[in-house]
Amino acid sequence: MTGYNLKTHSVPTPVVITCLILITTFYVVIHSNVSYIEFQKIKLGNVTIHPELLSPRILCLIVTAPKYFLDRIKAINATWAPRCDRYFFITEYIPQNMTLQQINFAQQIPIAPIQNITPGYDHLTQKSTVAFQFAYENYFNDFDWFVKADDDTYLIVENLKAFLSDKNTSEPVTFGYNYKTNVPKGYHAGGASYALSRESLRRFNEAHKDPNSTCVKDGGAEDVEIGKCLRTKDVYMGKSLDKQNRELFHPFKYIEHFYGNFKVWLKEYAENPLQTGDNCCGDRTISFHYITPDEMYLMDFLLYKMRSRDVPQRNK
Amino acid sequence: MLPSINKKRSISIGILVLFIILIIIIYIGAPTTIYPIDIQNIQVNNVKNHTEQLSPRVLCLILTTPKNFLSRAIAVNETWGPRCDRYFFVTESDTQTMTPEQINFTRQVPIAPIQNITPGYDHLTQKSTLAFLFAYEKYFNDFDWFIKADDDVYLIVDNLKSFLSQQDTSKPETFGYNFKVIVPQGYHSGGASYVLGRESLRRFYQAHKDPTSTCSKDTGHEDVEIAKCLRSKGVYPGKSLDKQNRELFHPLSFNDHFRGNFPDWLKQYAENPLQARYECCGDQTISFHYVTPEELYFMDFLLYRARPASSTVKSNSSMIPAK
Repeated sequence: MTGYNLKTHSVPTPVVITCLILITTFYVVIHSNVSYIEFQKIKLGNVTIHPELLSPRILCLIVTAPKYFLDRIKAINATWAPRCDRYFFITEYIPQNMTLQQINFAQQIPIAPIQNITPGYDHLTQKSTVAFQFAYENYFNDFDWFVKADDDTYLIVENLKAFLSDKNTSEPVTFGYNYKTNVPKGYHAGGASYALSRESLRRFNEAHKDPNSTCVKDGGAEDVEIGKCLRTKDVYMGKSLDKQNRELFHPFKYIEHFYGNFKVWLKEYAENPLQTGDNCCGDRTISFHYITPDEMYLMDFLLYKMRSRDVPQRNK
Repeated sequence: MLPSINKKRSISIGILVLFIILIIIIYIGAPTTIYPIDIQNIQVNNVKNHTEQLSPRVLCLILTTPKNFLSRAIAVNETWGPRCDRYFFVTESDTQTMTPEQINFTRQVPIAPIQNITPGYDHLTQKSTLAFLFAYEKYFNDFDWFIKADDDVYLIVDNLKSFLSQQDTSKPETFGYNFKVIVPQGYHSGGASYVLGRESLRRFYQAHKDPTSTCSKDTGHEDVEIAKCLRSKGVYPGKSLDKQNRELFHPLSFNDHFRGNFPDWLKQYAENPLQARYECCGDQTISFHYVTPEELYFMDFLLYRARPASSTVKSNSSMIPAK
């Protein structure tokens, strides 16, 4: 008689246990939503990481003067400057020549403690030079990139950081809007702002410490002279077009680039062909120049306040 | 014994195989995770059935005139106009008095085929009236909301739609920037643009077809007269502040609202307290007035093209943008 003997003929226990383990494992895996892509990332993460590439630390140096404190500086201080990891205003500070309002306001903003700045447009080279030296002497180790801007420049700081995040700060490279004339291998337009890598800043400082250097300590056009000085130490300009070959740094206002209302000389100066319309300015645009304080508040409102939802691209 | 063992063994193996097959099916078949929220949405959609609230269809009527074609109208055409589900420029178009460039322009943009528009600022009431009547006669069934705007306005159409998706177009209600004077229950600033729902438009049309109606067909201030006409049929202005009590429609430029450069008359006219700085304008702002063509292109770039990269790790010393 074929008896049903539970002891010897039941489903083998190891099989049951294996099945239960398999079922449990698969459910856990499914519900933790581990996608294949994440496995890839984990593997890549084992390759060398350059910390500054994750989000480079940026020191912003904004060149200005007391007469602009209450309009331009107030606007910059309330809009884009705080998005830098740290920022300083580079200005002369002579209380005897300042109004009470300006002095009061100066207490509330970060002014770089730099002595003996000579006031006036003729001394912008000095202002920028001492700004970079100040940055080198006090903050060299704390930042990856050092950006000089004017008080009528609007910087979209997140885009600057994203742009710099895959650039190598140990290279003697700088980024900004590229002119090809006046200076060997060109120079950056001052008003569009430009960024120095750590190596570039180090060499700039070296150049100014060198008694034989031809670097100008004052006079001349600021952007030209800084450019010339950097070239003496083989610091070179990097490219700053986006993937669609559109400019990211802009020496003029948006509408001038959009319409193509360029000054006649720009065509000779510009390293890249001048583009207009929708090609004037990359989606990840970094800077515009000649921005009034009112425009800064408008730009800030449109870029940051009204971005709470994903605004869809328009149809062409 | 042997046959029994084989039978039991084969049953065990069968069960094991079954398990493995089940596991494979579950693993392959398990698609995206089902979020609780989706289930909630499905339930909500079964209750209310107002399809226009998913994404209301908006018809934009943009008042302009030939001398503004190549400056203002073209800018509207290249920026926010096309974001309306449909848009028309409402303008006189007398080919006798237009330049070739202006005539050329009329061929490239949608111009409402409306006859007998009298040119000039004194006839804006007529222009707006004819615009709404045209919209009713030709497009009443195709849209949920009908907005009248000037050619110096920047409309953020997505925000307009988002706002209107929470409103009921079968109510005799209109939305815009609210003035409290002159007209019973107030009226909307024409410059900030204003929106009529379907019921409002229907009643406006009715009013104009009624021979005993007091509605002005021309003369007077456009925003005042249109509002008076709507009031005569029980259409009233709705509220348009956001959850933080900030205005969404703006009768002045951003700059004037932000700086608080309010003309004295506005203080008397405005239904809501005037606010400046970051309280002037909601995050979901719908309109600004007195926008130049250049500013239209710039604002469009900033809102729709320039996208600040989302920030990653912020270091200790970074400050949150000042509010």
